[in-house]
Amino acid sequence: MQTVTSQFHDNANKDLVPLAWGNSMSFTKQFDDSITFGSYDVSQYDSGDLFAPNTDDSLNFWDYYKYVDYSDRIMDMSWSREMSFPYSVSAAMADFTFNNTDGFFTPGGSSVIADYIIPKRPVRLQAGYKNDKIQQFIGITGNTPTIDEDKKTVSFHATDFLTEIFALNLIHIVAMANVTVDEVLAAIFEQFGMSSSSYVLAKGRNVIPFVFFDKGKNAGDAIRDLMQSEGGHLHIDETGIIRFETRLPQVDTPVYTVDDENTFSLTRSGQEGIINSVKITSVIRKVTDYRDVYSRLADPENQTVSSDVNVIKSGSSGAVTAELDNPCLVIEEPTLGEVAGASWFTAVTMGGTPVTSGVSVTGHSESTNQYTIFISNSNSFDVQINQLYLWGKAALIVNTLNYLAQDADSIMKYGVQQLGGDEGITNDFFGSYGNADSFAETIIDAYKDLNPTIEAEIAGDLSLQLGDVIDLQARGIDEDYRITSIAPTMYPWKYAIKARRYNPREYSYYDITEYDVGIYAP
Amino acid sequence: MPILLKLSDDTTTETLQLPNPPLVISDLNNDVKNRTLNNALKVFIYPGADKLIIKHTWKYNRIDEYDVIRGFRQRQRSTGKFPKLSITGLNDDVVNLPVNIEMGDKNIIDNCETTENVSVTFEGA
Repeated sequence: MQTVTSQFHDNANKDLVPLAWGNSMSFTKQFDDSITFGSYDVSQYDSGDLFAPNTDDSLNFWDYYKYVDYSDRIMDMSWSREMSFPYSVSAAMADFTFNNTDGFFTPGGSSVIADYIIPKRPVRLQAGYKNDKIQQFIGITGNTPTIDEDKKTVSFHATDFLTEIFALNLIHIVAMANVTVDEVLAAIFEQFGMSSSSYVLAKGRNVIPFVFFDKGKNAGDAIRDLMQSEGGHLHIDETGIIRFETRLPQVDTPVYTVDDENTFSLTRSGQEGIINSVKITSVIRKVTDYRDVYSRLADPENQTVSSDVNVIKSGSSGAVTAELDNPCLVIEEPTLGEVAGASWFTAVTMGGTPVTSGVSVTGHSESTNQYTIFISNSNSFDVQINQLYLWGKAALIVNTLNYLAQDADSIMKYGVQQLGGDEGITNDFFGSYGNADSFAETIIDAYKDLNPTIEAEIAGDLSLQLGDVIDLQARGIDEDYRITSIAPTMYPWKYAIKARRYNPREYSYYDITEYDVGIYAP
Repeated sequence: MPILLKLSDDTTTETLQLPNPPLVISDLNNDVKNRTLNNALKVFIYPGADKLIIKHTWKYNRIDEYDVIRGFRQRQRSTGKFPKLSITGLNDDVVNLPVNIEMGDKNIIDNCETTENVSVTFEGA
C-alpha cells in the first residue's frame, strides 16, 4: 500500500467518495531544465528513452522529462497491473481518453503539440481523493492515438517503462560468478543507465555459480530466465520504482478489509494453479581459477605459412577470432610474445620469420563461445598471427541437474500438475541441487493444495498496490487474500481486483537465533 | 428585484428579461452510483463535474427577442466557444457560467413571427 495520509483513507471510505484524477504527458520529450541531469546528450542511447543519468539522486530517469498537465481534458482513464504465479515479470498498462473537441490532439493539426502526436510519449497518471492525488502509473504511450471524429475524443494506450526495457538488447556482455538474482538485475539495469534509486531489489535466495549473457541478448528474455530460477516477481510500481520480490517475501498483514459494506460483486473460484510436481533440468557450470582457455600453437616441425588466415596487412588492422569451448568469466587481453601465466600471441612474416614489434592489440570483444582480438600492424610488411594463447577463468560444465520433486498426497487428489507442463522447466540458472530443491519445495508447499482465488469489484482505496494482503470478510468468508491484479477504471468507477488466498509460512532462517520456531525455509 | 439573464460572447452582451417564470435550475453531474453486497449506496463524485442546467420557456417572444438568443446559439456553433450566462436577482446568483445553448421548437403564431413557448436550455459546460 502506498504511503498516504489518513485523510486519503477517510475519503476512500466515505459513502460519497470524492474522486480526483490527473494526467500529465511529455509530448515533446524535452528535459526539465530545473532538474540537474548528466550527459544525456552524449549518450549512445539518445535515440531512445533510456540513457545514462549522471546522478544518484532519488529521481528515476523518466522523471527528467518536462511534463505538461492535461487533467482538464480527461474523460476517462484506467490502468491495470497483474502478477502470475509462481513467478512473473509483469508490466502495467494504461488507457486514457481526452476531450478533443478542439482538435488539440489531432496529428497534423494546428495545436502546439500537433507534430508530437507520435508513439512513445511519456505519461503519468495520478488518482486519489479530493485534493490528494497520488501517482498510479508512469509509462510510455504505444502507437499513435485513436481519434474518434464523431465523439471528438482521442484515446491513448500506454505501457510502463519495464516493457520498454524488456524490448532492449543488452549493450554489453554480462559475465558474473556466484551472484544472486538481484545482483544480476542491478548489472542489467545499470547497462541502461538506471541509478540504484530506480529500483528496490530484495536479496535473491538463489546463488548462481555463473551467469553469461551475450551482448545483444534481449533483456526481457534474460530477466525472465532469472525470475524463473528465483521464483520471483518483478514489476514497476505506481511510482515508477522497479521492484523485485523473491519466492519467500516477508510475511504481510492485511492492509484493507473487503466486506459487504464496500464490495459490489464477488466471485470465488477453487482449483486454480495447483502445482504438485516440479521437474528441473539445469546445466551447472563452475568458474575455474586462471587457466588456459584457448590455445592455437604453431607446429614446431613446420613454420611455413601456408594460408592467408589471420593475416594483418601492412599498416592496417585486422581481427583474430578464437572459438571457445566454454564461456569465460574473464579473459586477459593478450600481448605480443610468449609469456607464462598470461594471454599472448605471436606473429610471423609471410616468410615465417618471427615478428617482435609493430604488432599490438587495440581491443577485443567476446561472446559465449568466441573471443575476438583486434590487432594493429604498423610494420611495412604483412604479418600472420600464427599462435594465440588465452589465459582466463572458464565456466566448465560440472554437472547436468535432472531434478524431480512431487507431492504424493496432492497427486492422489488432483493428478500430476507439473510446473511447466510435461517437459518441466529448463533453466541453467538454478546452479545447484540445493537451489533446485529449495525452489521446488517452496513451490510445492505453496501450491499443492486448493488456493481459492477471488475476483471482486470493490469501492477500493487508490493507495492499494499489487501484492498487498487484504482481509476478506464478505459473504461470510473470513480469510486473508493477496492481491494479484488491480484494474481501476475512473469513469464509470470500477475497481476490479483479483486475489489469491494468502497462507503465509512463518519460515525461520538458519542464521538467526529464533530458528527453533516455525519451519526452516527450504 | 427582477430576475435578469445576461448572455455574453465575443460578439455581444445581451440582457434578457424573465417575464414568465418558472426558471428551472437543476444539478448536472457525472456521479456513479453503486450498490454494495448489503445494498448500501456508494456514490462516486468526479472532480469539477458538478454543473448546473438551467431551463426556461418564454411564453411569447418578439422575433427580435428570439433572434438575440438564436444568435448566441448560432455563434457558439460557428466559433466553437460557449457563451457565458449570468443570472441576477436570485438568492444564489449565477456568474459567468459557460453554457451550451439548445433551443426548442420555434412556434410562430402570427405574421409578425411572434413565437410562443420557445424553450431554451442552458447546460453548464
